[in-house]
Amino acid sequence: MIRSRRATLLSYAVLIIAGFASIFPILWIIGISLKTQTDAFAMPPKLIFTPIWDHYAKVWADATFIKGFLNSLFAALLGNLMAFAIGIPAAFALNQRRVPGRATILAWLLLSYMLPEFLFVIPIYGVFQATGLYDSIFGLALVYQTFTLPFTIWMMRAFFADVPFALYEAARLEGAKSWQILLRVYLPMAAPGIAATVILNTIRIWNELAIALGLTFDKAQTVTLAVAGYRGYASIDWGALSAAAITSIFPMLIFAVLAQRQIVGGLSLGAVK
Amino acid sequence: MSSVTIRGVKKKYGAMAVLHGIDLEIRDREFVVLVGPSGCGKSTLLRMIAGLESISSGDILIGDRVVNDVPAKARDIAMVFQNYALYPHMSVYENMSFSLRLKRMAKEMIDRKVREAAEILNLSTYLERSPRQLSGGQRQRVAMGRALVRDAQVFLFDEPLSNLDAKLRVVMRTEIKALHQRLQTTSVYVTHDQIEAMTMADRIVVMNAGKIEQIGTPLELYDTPANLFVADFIGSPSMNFLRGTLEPGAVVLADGSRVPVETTGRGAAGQKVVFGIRPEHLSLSSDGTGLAAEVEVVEPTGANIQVYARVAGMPLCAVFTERHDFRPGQTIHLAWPGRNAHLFDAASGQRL
Repeated sequence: MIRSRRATLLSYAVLIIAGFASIFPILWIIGISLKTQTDAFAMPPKLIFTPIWDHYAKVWADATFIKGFLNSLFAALLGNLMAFAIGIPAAFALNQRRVPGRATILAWLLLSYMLPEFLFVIPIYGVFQATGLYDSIFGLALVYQTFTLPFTIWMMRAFFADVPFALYEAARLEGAKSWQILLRVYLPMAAPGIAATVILNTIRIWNELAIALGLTFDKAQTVTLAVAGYRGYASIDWGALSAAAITSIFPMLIFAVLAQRQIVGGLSLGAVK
Repeated sequence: MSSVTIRGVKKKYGAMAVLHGIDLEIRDREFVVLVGPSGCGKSTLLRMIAGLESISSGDILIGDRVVNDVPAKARDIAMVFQNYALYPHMSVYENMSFSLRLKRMAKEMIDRKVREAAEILNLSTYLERSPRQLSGGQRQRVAMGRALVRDAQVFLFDEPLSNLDAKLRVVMRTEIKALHQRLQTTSVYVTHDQIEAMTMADRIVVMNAGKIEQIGTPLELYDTPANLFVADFIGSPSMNFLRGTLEPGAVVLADGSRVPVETTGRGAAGQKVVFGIRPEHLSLSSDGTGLAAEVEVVEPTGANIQVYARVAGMPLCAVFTERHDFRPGQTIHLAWPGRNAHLFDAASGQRL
């Protein structure tokens, strides 16, 4: 009894330390975003201060930042749409009972998922320059689709595999065509999994910097680039940079909180098989 | 409704043959049960009729139409799966109407059919529930309802009761039989449970290791099993087998004791044979003659007494409806009506 209580205390202590360690940088940045430049770099750090909203006002009035924010939103939306438009049928096909070379295909998908993002940039830069896709949201979304697709297929395949095959057979016997089985049986049943995958894809696209840096100039700049933009030639606008960073975290934070149950449910759903 | 004809059907997975040439004629309106131990190929055969498994060779006909290359959805058959295969995200109503909605049938028509089927299956008050809110028996009925609304030519059942507890299984068994008597749809039912087969079937097909051992009505199989496998498989407790040598008028056991049996026209003297007698056909001989058996275990069930004994070193079971007071170690003498004795060739296992 006492031992288990000590173990509980210990695990709480570890959790609190780990939680603090991961949330500290965010708190620090929030602090900077609410302080004047002088307060922000005071030594020792000023823990009690009068918050100012000037940095946020500046960032939210900055056309470049707003454009980057919206660009990222569109790129995430479009990238997800395209990844799922291809990923869902691909995963469904891979989940059939007899797929020659399934293991190899899945291994390749996993491998391509592990490739560094920047690998895409170099060859695609040339292609995009030639085709006019350079510095366009569509072009960016196309690349995002490419780099989230393996993960999307991999995840969807796992969720589809959780649907009992007897349901497939039953639907088939009842006269359903493949696309009807996919649409009316598999997709509704894999809905939590789709939600989880969308969220993880979106977070990945939202936080992506390397590809956007390589394939955009100013029209299609993303939010991560806009945040980095507060780092000037000679000086860094720490207050605005922090406010922009916190602002850019917000959509994902809301997204993650709202969909927490889906993510956990979806991930554990996939984990069983 | 339609007949199903299976002609020389074989199934191979790579080099492994699962079915070695099945010939079977299922008549219109008939309830046929495929029964056999697991791995005998009965489910594979059913799935081939359904179109869920390809046919390696031979023909399957539904009515007069060869359906070998007809896809499952075009065969006009309904199947009830072992795990029910209900769509968990749909209500009972949506589950039952799924096939009709796929056909784009008029809404009123769908509604009428679903409500009719629900009425028959006592599901009317559950139509808005989701499958997970139902008991096992109710889920089973929804699975049947899904088959029912379709007016399919043939119903296929793949071990539909094996997920239910023993008591419910008996209830559902009767329900399915009553349903068949009412609808008269040709049905093929797969089970490994010989009691289910006996109680439900018009005809039983006993399968073993990818072959048909015997086809017949339940009583034909019980009274005249074609071979040792069927004799052993049908009936509970199983038939007793005593190995011995055939002599005119008797089977001589290893210890020299003679089991009287009608032998005219059944094998040659000196042949190794197996004498078979069902436990329920044994009775105590009143005059102390008859087969001597040493009692080992006595199990009263209330309705009867099951006695496990030993004859010439071989196990034997007897069931008595009268309440005898047997003691382990006691020797009892058993008799039976001659017509209930079975004789099989020991080498081939075939009935003599």
